[in-house]
Amino acid sequence: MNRKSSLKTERFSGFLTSILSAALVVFLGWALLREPPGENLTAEAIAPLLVESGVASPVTAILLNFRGYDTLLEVMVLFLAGLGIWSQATVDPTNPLVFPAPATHPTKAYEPGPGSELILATLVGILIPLMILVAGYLTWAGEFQAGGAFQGGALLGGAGILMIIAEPQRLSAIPPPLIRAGIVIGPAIFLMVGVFCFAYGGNFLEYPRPRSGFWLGLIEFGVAISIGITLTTLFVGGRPNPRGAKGKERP
Amino acid sequence: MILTLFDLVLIIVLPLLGLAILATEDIFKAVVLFVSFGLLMALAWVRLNALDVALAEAAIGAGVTGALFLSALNRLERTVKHERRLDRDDERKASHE
Amino acid sequence: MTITTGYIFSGLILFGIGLNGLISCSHQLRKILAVNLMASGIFLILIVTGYGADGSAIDYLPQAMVLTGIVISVSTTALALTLACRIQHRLNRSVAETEEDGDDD
Repeated sequence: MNRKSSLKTERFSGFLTSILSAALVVFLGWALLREPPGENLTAEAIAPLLVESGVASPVTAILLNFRGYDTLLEVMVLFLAGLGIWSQATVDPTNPLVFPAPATHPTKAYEPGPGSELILATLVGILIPLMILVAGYLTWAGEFQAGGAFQGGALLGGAGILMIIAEPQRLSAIPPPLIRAGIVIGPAIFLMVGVFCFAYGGNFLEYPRPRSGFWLGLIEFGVAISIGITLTTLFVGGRPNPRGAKGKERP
Repeated sequence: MILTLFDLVLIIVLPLLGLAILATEDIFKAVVLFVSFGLLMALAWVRLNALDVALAEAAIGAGVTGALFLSALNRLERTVKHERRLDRDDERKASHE
Repeated sequence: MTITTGYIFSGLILFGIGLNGLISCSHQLRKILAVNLMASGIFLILIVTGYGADGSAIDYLPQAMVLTGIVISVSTTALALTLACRIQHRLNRSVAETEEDGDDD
C-alpha cells in the first residue's frame, strides 16, 4: 500500500510549509521594520474637521462620517452572513441547541444535572436586563468616548446568545418575521439615511451640516440592534422551522 | 513609549498562546485557549491606545466567536476523525467495549 | 526595543503561526482558528502604525479599519463553521472513511 510513502510525503510537506511561512514572515518583518511607522497625516487632517462632524469621538466620526461608505459595506457583509445562515439551515425552535446525530455515529444524549438549570435561570434573569441597559449606554456613549454601535451591538448579541443557551425553548415564542425585521433594520436605516441626504443637496451619505449628529445617532441605533440580532442568529445557526429541523436528519 | 514588563509579557505570551492553540490534541482545549487569547488581545489593544477596538475585541472576538466555535464543536463532534475531545473519547471507548 | 517594534514582531509571528496552521492542520475547526489567528496578527500590525510614538498624535484611521475587520472576521468565521457542519452532515459519514492516509495535526 502507499500508506507509508504518503505518510512520508505528508511529513515533508509539513516541514516545507514551516520553512516557507518562516521565510515569508522574515521578509515581511524586513519590509515593515526598515521604515518604522512615521508621521500621521490623518490625525492632522481630521482634527479641525471634528467639530463639524457632529460627534466628539474621533473613531466614531471616522467610522460613520468620514469613512461612512466603508461602514455601510461592512454592515452589508454582516447582513450577508446572516442571510447565508438564514437560508441554508433550519433549527427546531422548541429545542434549537440539540442537533440529531447521523445514523452512522449515534451518541447518547446529554442529561444536565438537577441544579444547573436553576443557577442558569437565576443568572440570566439578573444579567440580561443589565446587559441590554449597558448596551444602550455604550451605543449612546460612543458620541464622546470609547463605545459606539459595534460595541453596543456586540453586547446585545452576547445577551441574545446567553438567552438562547439558558432557555432554548423561548425561541419558539419569537415570530420569525420579527427576527427578520431585526436583521434588516440596520442596513435599511443606513441606506435610507444615505439616500435621504440627496434631498438636502448633498451626495450619498453626505449629512446635512448643522445637525449631522442626529443622523449619526439614528444610524448607530439601527446598526446596534441589527448587529445584536444578527450575531444571535449566527449562533443559533439557522431559521426557526416549526416542523422540526429540516436538513439536519437523514430522510 | 517605554516597554514595560506588562508589554513584554504580552508580546511573548501572544504567539506562544497561538502556538498552543494549534498544537494541543484536544479541540475543546484549543477553543477555550482561543477565548483567552481574545481577552489577552483586548489587553494589547488597551496598551496600544485603541480603546474602541479593545471593547469590540473583548465582546465580539472573545465572546461571540468563542460561543460560535463551541456550538460548532457540538455539531461536529460526531463525525470528524481527528476530533480528540478527551472526555468524549473515553466515553466512546467505554461504550464500544 | 520600543513598543512598536515589539508588537510588530508579535503580530508577524502570529501571522506566520496562523499561516502554517491553516496549511498543515487537518481538523476543520483548527483551520478556522488559524485563520482567526492570522487576522489577529494583521490587526496588531495595523494598530501599531497608528500608535503615536514619542509625541505625535494618535492616528484613528487604522482603529476604524480594524473595528470593521473584527466584525467581518466574525461573519466569515460563522459562515465557515456553518458550511463545515453542513459538509459533514451532507457527506453523512465520518471523515475516517473518506481519508485514507495519515495526517499530521
